Amino acid sequence: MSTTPTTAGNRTRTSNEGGSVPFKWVAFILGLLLPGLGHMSIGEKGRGYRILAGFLVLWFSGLLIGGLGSVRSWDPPYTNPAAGGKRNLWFIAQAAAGPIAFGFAALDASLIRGAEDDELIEITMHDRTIGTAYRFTSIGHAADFGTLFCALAGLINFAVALDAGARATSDRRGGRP
Amino acid sequence: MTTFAWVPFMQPLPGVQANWLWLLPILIFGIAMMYKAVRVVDLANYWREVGTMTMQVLLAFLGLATGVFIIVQWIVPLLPAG
Repeated sequence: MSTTPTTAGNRTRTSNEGGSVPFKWVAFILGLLLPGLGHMSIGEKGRGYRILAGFLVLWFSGLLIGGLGSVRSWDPPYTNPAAGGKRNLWFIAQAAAGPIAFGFAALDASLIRGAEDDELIEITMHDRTIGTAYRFTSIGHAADFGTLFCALAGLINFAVALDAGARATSDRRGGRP
Repeated sequence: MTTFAWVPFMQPLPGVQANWLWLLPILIFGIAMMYKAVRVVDLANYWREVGTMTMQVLLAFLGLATGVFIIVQWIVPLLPAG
């Protein structure tokens, strides 16, 4: 595997070819802004498009399974803090998808948190008071898998963006010869 | 105006609660797509590598599930109670 020596304040990485490659922060940031863009920026367009395709499969599958609530940056009122319920912690992983994650989180907050009264149903809260929730709030496996798909898409995108930053332009890594 | 019973993206996918296991291959396929896009040496082999990784992970899950099934259903009942 590669090493990460530090020389004169610049973090460098030893490529498979043996030469040191400075970390490309621009490629890393671009990879966070749009999945695959980091690789496209260093000339690996084929990889970039495939990364984007994989990301879209995971992200939109998650949204299809769990609905917009799969990408949620706020805690719904029915979350039970006594049971350690902090659903929005998943958004930390999802946020690595960049502006896409923040855009969908804003859409969720706008459409579901700000839903009209006729789209709400009465529910019993954890403290046994009567509260409301969005009529089509996903629960159970739909909520779990929807959130998981989007969180994995974000986490993998962070690793992919790191790869874009650390990859030598001609670096073709693979497990098999 | 025609309305559908399910509004994609606004409402969760119906039937997931009972059939969630079918989501696993989709999840693994998506992970394999992103992983192999970075790792594959020759992009000409991309889809073959994605398919191979998806099958490998699914078979690993199947093997683990079989192992746990055997332990829980057959071996644990053989243990002396108490």
